[in-house]
Amino acid sequence: MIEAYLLHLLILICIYAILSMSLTLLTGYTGMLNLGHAAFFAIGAYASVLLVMAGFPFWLGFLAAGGVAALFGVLLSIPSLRLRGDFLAIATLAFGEIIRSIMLNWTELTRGPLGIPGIPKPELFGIVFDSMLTYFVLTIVVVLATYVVLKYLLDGKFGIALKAIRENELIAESLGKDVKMLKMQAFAISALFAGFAGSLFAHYITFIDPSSFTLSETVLVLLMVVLGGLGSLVGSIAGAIILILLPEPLRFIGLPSSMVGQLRQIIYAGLLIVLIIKRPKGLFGEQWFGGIVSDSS
Amino acid sequence: MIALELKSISKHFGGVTALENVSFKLEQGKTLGLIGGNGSGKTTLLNVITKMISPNSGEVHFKGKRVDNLPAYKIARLGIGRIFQIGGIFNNMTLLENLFVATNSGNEEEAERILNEVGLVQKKNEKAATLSGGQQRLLEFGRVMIRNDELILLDEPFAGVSEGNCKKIEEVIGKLQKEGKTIILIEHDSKRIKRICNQLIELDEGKLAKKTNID
Ligand SMILES: Nc1ncnc2c1ncn2[C@@H]1O[C@H](COP(=O)(O)OP(=O)(O)O)[C@@H](O)[C@H]1O
Ligand SMILES: [Mg+2]
Repeated sequence: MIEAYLLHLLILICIYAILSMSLTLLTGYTGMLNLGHAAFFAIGAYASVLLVMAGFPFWLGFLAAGGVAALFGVLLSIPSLRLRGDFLAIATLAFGEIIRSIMLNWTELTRGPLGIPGIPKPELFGIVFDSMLTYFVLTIVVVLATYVVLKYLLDGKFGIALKAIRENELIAESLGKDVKMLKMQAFAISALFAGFAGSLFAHYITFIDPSSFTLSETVLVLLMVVLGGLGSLVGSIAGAIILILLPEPLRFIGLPSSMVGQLRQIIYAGLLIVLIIKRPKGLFGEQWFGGIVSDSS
Repeated sequence: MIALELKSISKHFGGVTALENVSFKLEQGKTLGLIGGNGSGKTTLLNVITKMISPNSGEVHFKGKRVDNLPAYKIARLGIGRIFQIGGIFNNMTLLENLFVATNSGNEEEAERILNEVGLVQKKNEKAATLSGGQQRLLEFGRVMIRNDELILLDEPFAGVSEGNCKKIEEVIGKLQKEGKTIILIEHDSKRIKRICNQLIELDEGKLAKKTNID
């Protein structure tokens, strides 16, 4: 029993670690505040579920989750080529709300607010990942793969170019960087991994509905990124671990579950305030996160 | 060979005329001094060459090819580099990272060699924000050097820089000249211009007022 509970937390940590790593590429490195990240998570979840429930194999649903989300990432990058700072943040916020309202209203596809129950557990190479332990192995493998790929990209010239864009687009361009293309790639890669996380989430919980992909989900992931320190992959993982575990003790003090949800929000808000005052660069970060909301040019 | 040619460039900002019908040619390997009072259009001229702004009319040719229809990053890739009047470095990145943005090789040895040439190698892992004004300029020179730019545009590189660093910058410019680079230098000190430049152009309220050969 306690083992199942711990594994459940570990699986959630893994899924959120993928999300927070994907978001730090965009927000931490490139300096583009994305308030619609949960939409990529949602698109991945629905894409994977709809394909698998239509009879396609899990691996295809999983890859499509990333691929479809990446396409939407490219779409969302278009306003980012013109908008900066706060205006971009508002555009991404609108994107998140549009995707959520499509999930709610395109009922033939998504069943709207009723959600999609009975999502099958993944099956790969003849193995069905239907126990907590096997599912944890699956998610940790994806976490490691995500880390390795993003680490390779971000430590190389791609990551340095993204940081240069965060610092000053015009100067990056004057040094030969194709800023529009790089921003598009940053959005696509960020969305790709968020889509993978969506697939893992959906096939784990086995039920999805639009309420799992709201703005507060984005804010939670953003808080993980900020807590760990913008522009740090290890920090993003640490942020996921801390923020998943932090509210857990609330379960054991005998409060009604409706109150637990609200208390959790209060804890997150309080943490954000403490962070801004005490440690604006996060645990592992190099950049103050005020930098992402003010226009750098 | 003509490295750079501007043909009747004009640029207006609303009612302000920043450049009016400016034309000149610059031969490869020569250094052109660009002078003129505050607001006479010097920086705007460099902005037009690097396509950080589009001119209202006129053409820019680099090594015989028209380039003003290209985006800024493509112009940079042709080998046109620039040192900015203000804020030209990436403050929150290390010196090495500042150089790596400028090259695609990511070769650390080469970057260190360049930092050594501009006298900054001992600070290679520090944030660029910690540098003094003159050192920041030298870092920008390092970027131009690692890119091996052929045409180098310098926007008041000596302004507000300590005497020691001015000397160092002049030394670096001398080295670039020996390598055959083509240079445009915006500068107010006439003695320094005479020391460094082969030709001189004066702008007056956006118009080309005077052209002189120095040699
Ligand atoms: N981006 C801009 N928007 C509006 N006006 C500008 C802009 N850039 C320059 N100007 C104006 O154009 C004129 C020339 O400016 P500039 O080229 O910076 O002069 P200089 O470098 O010779 O001091 C000035 O009147 C300046 O105010
Ligand atoms: Mg100027």
